[in-house]
Amino acid sequence: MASSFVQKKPLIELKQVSKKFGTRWANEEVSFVVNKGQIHGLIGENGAGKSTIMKILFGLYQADQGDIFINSAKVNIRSPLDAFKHKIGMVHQHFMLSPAHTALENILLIQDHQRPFEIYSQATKIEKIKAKAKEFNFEIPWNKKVSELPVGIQQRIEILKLLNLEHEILIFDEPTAVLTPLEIEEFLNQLQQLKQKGKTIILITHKLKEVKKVCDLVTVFKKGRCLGTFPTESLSEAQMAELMVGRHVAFQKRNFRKFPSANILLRLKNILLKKNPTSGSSSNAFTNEGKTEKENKFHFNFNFDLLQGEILGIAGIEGNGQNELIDFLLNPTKYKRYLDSSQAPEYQLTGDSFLTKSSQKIREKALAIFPEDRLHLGSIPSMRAFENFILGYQRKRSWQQGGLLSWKKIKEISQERFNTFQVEPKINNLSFNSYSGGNQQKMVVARELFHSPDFILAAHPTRGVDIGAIELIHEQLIQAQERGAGILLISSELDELTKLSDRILVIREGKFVKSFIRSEFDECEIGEYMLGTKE
Amino acid sequence: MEATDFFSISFILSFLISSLRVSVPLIFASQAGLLSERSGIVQIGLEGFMLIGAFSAASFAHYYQSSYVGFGMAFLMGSFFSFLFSLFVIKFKADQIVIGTAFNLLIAGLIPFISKFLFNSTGSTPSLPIEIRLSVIPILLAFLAVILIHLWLYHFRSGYWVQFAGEHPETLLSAGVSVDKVRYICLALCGGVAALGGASLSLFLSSNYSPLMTGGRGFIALSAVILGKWKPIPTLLACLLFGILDALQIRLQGVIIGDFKIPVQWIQILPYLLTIIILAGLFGKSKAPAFLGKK
Repeated sequence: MASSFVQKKPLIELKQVSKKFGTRWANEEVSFVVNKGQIHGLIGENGAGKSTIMKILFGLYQADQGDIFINSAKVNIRSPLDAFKHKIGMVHQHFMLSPAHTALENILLIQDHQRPFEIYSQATKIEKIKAKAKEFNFEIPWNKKVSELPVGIQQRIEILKLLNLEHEILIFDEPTAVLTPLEIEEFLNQLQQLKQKGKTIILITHKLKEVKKVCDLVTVFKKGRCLGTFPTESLSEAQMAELMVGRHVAFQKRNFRKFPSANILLRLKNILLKKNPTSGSSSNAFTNEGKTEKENKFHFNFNFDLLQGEILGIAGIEGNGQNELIDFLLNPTKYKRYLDSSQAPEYQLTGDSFLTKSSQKIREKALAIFPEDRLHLGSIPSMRAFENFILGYQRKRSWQQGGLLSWKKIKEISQERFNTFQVEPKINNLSFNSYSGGNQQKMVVARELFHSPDFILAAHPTRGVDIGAIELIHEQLIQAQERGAGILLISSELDELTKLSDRILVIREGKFVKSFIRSEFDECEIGEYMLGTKE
Repeated sequence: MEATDFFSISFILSFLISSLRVSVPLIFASQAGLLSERSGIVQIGLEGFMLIGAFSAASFAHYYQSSYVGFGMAFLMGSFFSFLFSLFVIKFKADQIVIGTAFNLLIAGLIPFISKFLFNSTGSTPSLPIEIRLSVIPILLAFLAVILIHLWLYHFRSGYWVQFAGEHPETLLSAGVSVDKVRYICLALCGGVAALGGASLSLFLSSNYSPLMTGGRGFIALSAVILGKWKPIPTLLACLLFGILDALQIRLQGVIIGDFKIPVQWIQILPYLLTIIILAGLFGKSKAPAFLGKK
């Protein structure tokens, strides 16, 4: 039923493209056609080969077999430079930005006509970039270093880099993974605008809703193979999911078998932070040039209880204090100087005060965390998977034998755990960064839940993760909850929050502005509180 | 010498001028090191490139009886050796520190070998007559080099390429610029400029090449880069500071304060001591380019 949609003018044609990593085929005889002026979706589970095939098209990888045709002419794309010549641009899943340079400097790096001895920061070019940003409604703090910007803004910088180049073929590798719902809406509109301007867009995504909304055609990948290209309207979301996963996927909301007990697990009371010590790593999404001052004036005020067996969702636009909350919970001593001690602050976990405890102590108290940035905070990417499995828990006696780490045991247990979590490929001695994003996340979750923690801090647990993995991670969270663990779920996906949470707190400008219990959940209303249009 | 002599105008003036003079080789070498390190290549080989510069400058100046020829040829020879260095480091991806050390050792041995053929001596080159030695020009050129490098790095597109090559090479690659090419050019310039530092030792601060005359200046220059946080102007200031310490060390030889004779070594260790203190983070963080030394 597939590949019969060549009636439109084919712009890119992939024929029998294959790519092998080691002994594993990342792509096997992939063939499909992308038409000019359309939005073409690529869907599939993590590690299905969507990113790989696009990296081949962009020249980052070379295909082992097969041919690529652009405008019916065979092309040989050996590097991104060649891709540029064919007017192909790509927004990568892991950003191509220099953290030590400002947003503007990073965008200026890519220009259409680059001469080595021209002035770098030319007024006309800057104006053009700013006009482009305005056209697409991107607010960017131009003169801030990228290392100081939240991922959401970094993403916009990435996209803007590409838009600024006037490329004809735009490849987006999971562009909306880190955007807020409102930003996603805007971004999808922009994609349609781009399409109207005659651009050809290839969109790799996990979010079937987005595919339904903007894509003309969709190509489904499974285990390195291409299952076929379909017109989007011919498939429902459920059908797409079924194709990708190979079985029926449940979409319904979580069913409640157990309600939270009345015991307080975690209590934060009167935690007033005057200034943010990590003002760099976590600026807020509203800032732009004029408003950068404002951000430092933000006071944080954390006040809430988390019950045993409760999932408490924290909704908010990125940069409104979520990072500080996580950071404070993990490392309260770092905030000692900023904490207003006159208000009798309290930080209690399972009945003990943790206000002056080191983060090692807190971790030992069975606090598990899925950090937002799994590559930097959740793992050591260059170490192997089984080594990463004990990361943060390496002091535990159970890993040791005669005072030494027992690698044999670690390997066995981690393999077993990874199998339960369906980590692909099923080997645990590859380096962590050679797994795909979703599998990396599965490994982090597998590790953190292994020690049956009382308290789970889940920051964007399903960001950049495919449907199968989302289902699995959600299931694990619910299981942990039923066992009696308390879960603080920080997410920018309202879908996820409303699906899992017992209660949702909305955080804005460092404070909790509203609390919803499950029966009151209304995505629109929550969104309004997030944005501050409703106080 | 009496301690009170230190405060006469003429003393201070001559002290400052001599500080400036002894800073010149350091300025060239540290700016050279900065170029290489900003592009992401660890530069241990400055000492060797300086020696090449000192030797080839003295030799060519002797044959052509012109320091200008010597100075120019030093640049070319330095670039050539640096190009060989870059072949190992960039093309064959060898370890940068190992190759840098190897070049230092190789050059230290190669010079006496060539010198034996040219001058039938394994040590010094013949002395240059005083009329053809350089006087002010190296100082001016050193400052010009700093200004040019500063302007280049922070105002021109290719300068930013150098920065990105050191900070996030993948970004540069995705911008359609060859990271390797940028590094080749930086290293060639690095060798040339470091060699100018050597040349100013043999043509400006003395009148010939004497064995191992750099005496560790390549490493002091590297400390200056770290002290200057990998930025051209602060690096220049660090060099001037080290120059002052060096001049002080010469002046303080044999000076007695009260009953106490200051050991020269105390002053000599100051640049290194300073670098250690800086690296320990006592004067604010000095942050290296993120991809320095990584492949």
